[in-house]
Amino acid sequence: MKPLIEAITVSKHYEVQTGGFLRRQSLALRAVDGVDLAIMPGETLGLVGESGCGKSTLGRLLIRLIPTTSGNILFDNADITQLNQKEMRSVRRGMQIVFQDPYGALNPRMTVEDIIMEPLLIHGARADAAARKQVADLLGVVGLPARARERFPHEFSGGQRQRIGIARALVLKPRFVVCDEPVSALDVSVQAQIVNLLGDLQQEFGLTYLFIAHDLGVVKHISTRVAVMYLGKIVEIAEKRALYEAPLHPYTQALIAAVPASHPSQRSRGRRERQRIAGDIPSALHPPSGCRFHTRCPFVMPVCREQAPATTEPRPGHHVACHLNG
Amino acid sequence: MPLLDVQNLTTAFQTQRGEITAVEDISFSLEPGEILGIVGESGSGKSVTALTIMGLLPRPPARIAGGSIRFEGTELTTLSQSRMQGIRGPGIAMVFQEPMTSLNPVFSIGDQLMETIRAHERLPPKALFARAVEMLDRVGIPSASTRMKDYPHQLSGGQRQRVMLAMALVCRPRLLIADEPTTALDVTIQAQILDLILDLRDEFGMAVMIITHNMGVVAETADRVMVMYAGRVVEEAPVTTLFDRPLHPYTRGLLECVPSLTEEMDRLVAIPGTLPEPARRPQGCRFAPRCRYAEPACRAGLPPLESYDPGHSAACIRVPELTRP
Repeated sequence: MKPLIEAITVSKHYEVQTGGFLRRQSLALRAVDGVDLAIMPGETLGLVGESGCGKSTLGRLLIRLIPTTSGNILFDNADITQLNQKEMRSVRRGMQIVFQDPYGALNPRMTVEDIIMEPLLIHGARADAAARKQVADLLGVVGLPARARERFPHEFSGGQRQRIGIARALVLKPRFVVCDEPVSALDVSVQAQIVNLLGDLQQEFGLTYLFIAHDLGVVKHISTRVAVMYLGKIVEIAEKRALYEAPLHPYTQALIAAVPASHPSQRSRGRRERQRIAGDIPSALHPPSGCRFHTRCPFVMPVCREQAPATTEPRPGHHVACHLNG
Repeated sequence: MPLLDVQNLTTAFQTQRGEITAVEDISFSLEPGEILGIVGESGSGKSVTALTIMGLLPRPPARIAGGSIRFEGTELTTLSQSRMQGIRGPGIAMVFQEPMTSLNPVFSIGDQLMETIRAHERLPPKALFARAVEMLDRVGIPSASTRMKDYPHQLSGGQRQRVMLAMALVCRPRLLIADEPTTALDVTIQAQILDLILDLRDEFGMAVMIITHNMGVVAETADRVMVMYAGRVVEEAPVTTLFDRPLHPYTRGLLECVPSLTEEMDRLVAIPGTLPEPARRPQGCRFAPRCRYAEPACRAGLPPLESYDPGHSAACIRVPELTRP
C-alpha cells in the first residue's frame, strides 16, 4: 500500500533577528529539520512532543498551509511542493485542518451555515439549495441540531464550536485531515465526545488523520501509529502498542513516565523506575550539538554530544533515532 | 482546630442580568500538612472558591452572600483589607495557572521576590538578597544568584512557575493554594512541579489546596478530594476511596472519560451535553440533564450532601440504589 501523504526530508527554518542594534545577526530557527514521514490511507498517525518541538509546524507543512524551506511533500503519490496557488486549490479539497482553539478559529460575524458553507463557495459552488442541504446534513453528522444553522459561534459552548470546526473541515469531503490539538482546549467531560466523534467520522468517510496532541492518553486511544517529536526531529515512530509498551528512545520513555497516575496507588513520586528528565526543552535557535536530546538524556554517552544519531529500525515498523539503538 | 474551616460559603456576582451565584453553600476544612484536591471543570466554582478565601475578589461585583471562612480561628470574610494583607503571604499564599500574567514584566524576578519578602519582614539588604537566592535555589532554578537579574520573559514556562512557587513560599505560608499550577505546562515539566510541591509540603509542613481539572494530578498529590460541579460540592472523599468507590455519577463520569495509558477501549465513555452556564443552571440536581441515572425526582430539588462512610459524602439522591450490590 502506498502512503496517502509523505514528507521527504522536509525542513522549515525561520529567519530570526537577534542581538542589539550594532550586533544584529540573523539566525535560522529550525522548527522542523529534515523530517521523513509517511501516513497510510485510513490510519491515524498520532504526533506528540512538548510545546515548541515543531509538531504543529509539521502538520501545517504537510497540507502546505506554510511553504517548506526544503524537502518534498507527496500527496497521493504526486509531488505538491512546487504547485502554484491555482494548482494547489484542487489538491487542497483533499486536505483540511481542525484547529485547537474553537474560539479563535470561527469568524464571530458569520452564521454557522455561512461558516460551514464558505469552503464550498471558495471551491466554486453556489450558495443554493444543494449547498444548504449539504450543510444541514453535515450538522446532523457532527451532532448539532438543525437550528444551529442560523446562529453565531458565541452562542455555542467550546465542544459545540469544535463540532462546527469539524463540519467546516469535512464539507469538501477531504481524504486527509490534520487535527491540531482538537480537544486540548475543551473541558475533560466534553473531550471524550469529540474524540468519539472524530473516530466515528473516520469510519464513516474513510478519513486519514494526523492527530497532533500533547495528551498521551488521548493519542494512544485514537492512533494507529504514534510519532514522537523533539526539537524539530522525529525521534521515534512505531505502532502504538509497541511505542507505549516498549518505547526505545529515552525521551519517549521519559514522556510516558511523566504522565500522571490514573490511581493514587500508582503514585510515581519516589518510585525508582521513574525516568525523570530534568530541565526544559532547549531553544530551537541554538539546538544542542549531536543528538538534540543529549542535554536532558539520562543515558548520555560521549558520542551523543558529537554525532546526530541516524534513524534505525531495530524491530519491524519501529523506527528510532538514538545511539543506544544504533 | 483545623487550619482552614470553610462553612456554607456562598459567593455571588452582580451582573447586568442579575445576581449569579458562582459558589453555593460549600463547606470543607483542611488540617495542617494536608493536601486537598479540588476538582472541577469550567464554571464549577473552584477558582472562585480559592479567590474568595484569598480575599482577592473585587467587591462589588463580588459579594460573600453567606457562610464563613476561618483560618487558624480568625474569620476572614469580615476582615479588613489591611489585616487580610497580613494573612496573605505568611498565612496563605497562592500560585496561579498563568505565571506569565502573574509576574510583572518590567521588574527582574529577584526584585519581585525581594519585594515580597520586604512586604512582610524587615531584613538588611544582604540578608534579603540571600533569602531570595536561597528560595530560587530551593525551587530548582539553576545558578540562582545570577538568575536574580533575569526578567520573566527570559525564563521558560516551567521556570516561571518555579519562580511563582518561590514567591508564594518565601514567607513560609501555612497554606498554599495552587490554582491549576501545571495546566499550562508540558507533562515532563508538570511532573517536576508536582514533585516539587510535594517536597516543599514535606519540608515546610504546609497544607496545600490544589485546584485542577485533571484527575491524574489529584491521583499524584491529594490526600482528600472535593469534586465540584456548577458551583456546588457533589462529592468529597479520601483520595483512594474516591478512585475506588466513586459515588456520584459525575465523579464516575470524570474518572471514566479520560483514556488510560494501560487499558484499551473501542470508544471513550463520554458524558453527554455541556456544562451549564451560571445563569442557566437547571432546576434540581444540576448534573441531572447530563446524567444517565437521572429520574424525575432528581429535578425536583437540590440533592443534599449526605455522608455514606466516614469522610465520604455525595450529593445524589440515587446513591443508595446505585451502590446496592
